Amino acid sequence: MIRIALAGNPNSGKTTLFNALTGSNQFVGNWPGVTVEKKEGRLKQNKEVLIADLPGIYSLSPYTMEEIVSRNYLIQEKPDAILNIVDGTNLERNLYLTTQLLELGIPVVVAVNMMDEVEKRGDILHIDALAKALGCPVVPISALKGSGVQEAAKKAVEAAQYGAGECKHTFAPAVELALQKIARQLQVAENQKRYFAIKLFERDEKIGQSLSVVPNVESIIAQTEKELDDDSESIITNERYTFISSIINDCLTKRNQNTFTTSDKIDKVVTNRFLALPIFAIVMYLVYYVSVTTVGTWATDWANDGVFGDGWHLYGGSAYTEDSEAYSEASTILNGFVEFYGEENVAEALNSESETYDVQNAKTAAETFAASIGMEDEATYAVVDEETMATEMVTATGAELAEAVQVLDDFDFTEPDPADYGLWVPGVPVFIGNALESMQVADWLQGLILDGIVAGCGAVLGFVPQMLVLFFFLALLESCGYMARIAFIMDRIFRRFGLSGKSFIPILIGTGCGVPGIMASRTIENERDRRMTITTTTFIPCGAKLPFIAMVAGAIFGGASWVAPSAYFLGMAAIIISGIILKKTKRFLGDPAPFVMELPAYHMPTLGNVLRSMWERGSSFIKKAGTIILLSTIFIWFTSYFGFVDGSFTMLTEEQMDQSLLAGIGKAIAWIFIPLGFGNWQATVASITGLVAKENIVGTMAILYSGGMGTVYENMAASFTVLSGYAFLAFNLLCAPCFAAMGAIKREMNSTRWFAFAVAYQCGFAYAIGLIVYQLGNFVLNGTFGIGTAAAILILGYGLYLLFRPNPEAKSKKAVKVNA
Amino acid sequence: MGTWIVGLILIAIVVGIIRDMVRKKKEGKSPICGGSCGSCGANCPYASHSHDQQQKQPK
Repeated sequence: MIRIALAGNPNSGKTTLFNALTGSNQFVGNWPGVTVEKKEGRLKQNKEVLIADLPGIYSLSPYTMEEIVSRNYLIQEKPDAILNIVDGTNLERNLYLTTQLLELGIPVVVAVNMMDEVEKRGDILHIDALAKALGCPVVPISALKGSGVQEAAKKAVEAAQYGAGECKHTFAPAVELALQKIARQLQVAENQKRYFAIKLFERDEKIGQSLSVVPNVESIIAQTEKELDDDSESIITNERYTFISSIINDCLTKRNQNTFTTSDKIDKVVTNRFLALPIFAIVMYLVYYVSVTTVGTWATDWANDGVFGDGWHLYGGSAYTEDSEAYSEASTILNGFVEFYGEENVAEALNSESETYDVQNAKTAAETFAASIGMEDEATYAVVDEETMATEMVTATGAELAEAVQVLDDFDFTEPDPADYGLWVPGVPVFIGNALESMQVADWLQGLILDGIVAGCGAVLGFVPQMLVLFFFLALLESCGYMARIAFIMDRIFRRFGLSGKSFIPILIGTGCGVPGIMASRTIENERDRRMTITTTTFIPCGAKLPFIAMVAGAIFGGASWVAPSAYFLGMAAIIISGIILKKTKRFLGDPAPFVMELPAYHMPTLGNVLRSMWERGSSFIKKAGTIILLSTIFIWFTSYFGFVDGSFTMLTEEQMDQSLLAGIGKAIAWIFIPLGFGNWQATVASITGLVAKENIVGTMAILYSGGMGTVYENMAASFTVLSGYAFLAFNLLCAPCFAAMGAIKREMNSTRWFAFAVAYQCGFAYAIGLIVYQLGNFVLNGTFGIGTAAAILILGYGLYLLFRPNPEAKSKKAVKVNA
Repeated sequence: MGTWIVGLILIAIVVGIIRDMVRKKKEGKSPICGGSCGSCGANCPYASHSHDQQQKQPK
């Protein structure tokens, strides 16, 4: 087995190369710090070669956790060869790490990446000269386009088989002398002596852990420092850059030294002091608007109403839609007149849901009733828009009624059947329902499968198109390089409040899934900032929360376009507010960590990468629907359709669901949410099942609100007001995340106390926001004042005090200054 | 008869899912997150190879 390590600076394209070499689908982002753990895969062409993708590092001096991961692997596990990925557009800085890798005594092959970009700039890289100067093979590649990739792998395998050459670069004579003296005292392999000697010379604190005997070389270092009038670490750094400067002109010919690149020109606008934030807000608004309200909705409507509804037309759907609308309009006018004139007998005859419904009776009743109404007579009635749930008062004349009855007569008083038009594909519930019916399956099992599993999983799967659209846009933004700019923009804002822009990278990743978002906090060196970031990262809506947001927006807000973007901005505001509040507490006091980030060049995303990223993220939701969500729906169906009635345990009808086991559990806890306006057992249970996986909220709501006369959305709309609906949305967005993310928090905090603090803070913050939304909203809109309102005002006041009180640290610094 | 056949198929599916979740749990992976390690950039804390690193987290 040959082991090859991919090492290089952050965002130099290691993971792209890793995917190309191994055929993996690891997540690739156009910003530094995407990989914080090493990943392994086998070379596609030779399964005997194991490739390890290491987190990006600028040097072998470990400052952050992912740098430690890379260094430990290289030193302790000693791969057979290192494939050093170098960003060709930034050669000088990238070679700094290369000089260190060459000292490890491991064969190195340098792959100069982004050669397409280098050529586009008109720069010329002299590969042979670079190989000669470094003393190792150099291969030009473009990992994104796939050019030179196999050649690089081949060279790395050869290097692993034939061993390392000698390290070519040397330092100033005084430094070399000191290194030789140190090397003589080391008890390590000959080819590793130079590396350890340099690290000891630099006074690297952690290097002692890799040595069995640590020699005392302080006098050698001190003598050299005195001689060169600098500290030892700076001496080595300067020596490396001196070496790089001495070779760079022979290896690289730059066409234009000082002209602005396209990326620079875009950045002048995108990262502009005044324009950056509005541009970011518009971009994110558009992403959520398009994903949830327009394209996403069309796709999700098809999935919900078609695939997981009655069915859909492969063709010939427009004729059905036309006839269906004409029939529906005529029915509305007739029913409106019947209701207006209070004709209960006619209403009963027209009720197609009634067991005694007869087409001929309906026809006779409608015609007789229409004949009794004069052409000039009018009727006013309420019409509810199914999309927006808005009620509108409509007035129609007797002439319109006569016309409506004629239309219904044309259809023989029978609603158009979609199966009679074009090619009709029945939906999954219809297909399964028919199959179960033909197999004469017991009613309870049909109920479990159709009302439980199919309704619950179908409700989640129905939102997959919306998720895919969202992930497509996020992948585009990540891949082109804009997301990295957002971190830079946010740093400017975060820093004002004592926070670091570094906290934004985990948030960025958290928009896909909270788990890797939490893990990405490892790039933050400052432990207090890291803990704060872990606590707040899951406030940003992850992909799993999207179905829930879309469901609330569709059912309670009539598909209002502002709801989904507002959820994103609510999460962002929660992070900033929490950051400011926490940063002023004793546990998190301190200056923000410095944020130095290399902005990657913009590049055109490749469709393959974007689609792969979209599918990788989206497919996990499909897998989840087939596993944990499916089990959850079975549990929810059983516990909501079984319970005690008159002291005996029995299966319940839809009307008896209030006596179910689940209702009992929900009611025991529901009182907690009464001040938030959604103190019903269904919403309470949905919030709890959301802890298993956030998509479960949708599955649970779909099962629990499927009973009664209306659809799930209509029943939900009847159970929530706009205020209680938004409070429900806010609470579930901000409260403790799913178990998987909570596990990640516990692991990353590495402390039960800190884990408990994080979860308690998230739940407390979510509850406070939900309370403020509902209670103060009720007070402002309806003038209602009660204990809840008073509590909300107190909490808001206390929150504002915590937000705007002076920073205790700034105060103490000021005091020190005065005393001095 | 139909009830028995469908019921047994359903039980088999549920048992299969639970077995898969237990297996993932034993492998140190998450039975909940969907197992899409690719989308996590292998940052997933449940990926078995990352466990060594997690143990070394500073407190």
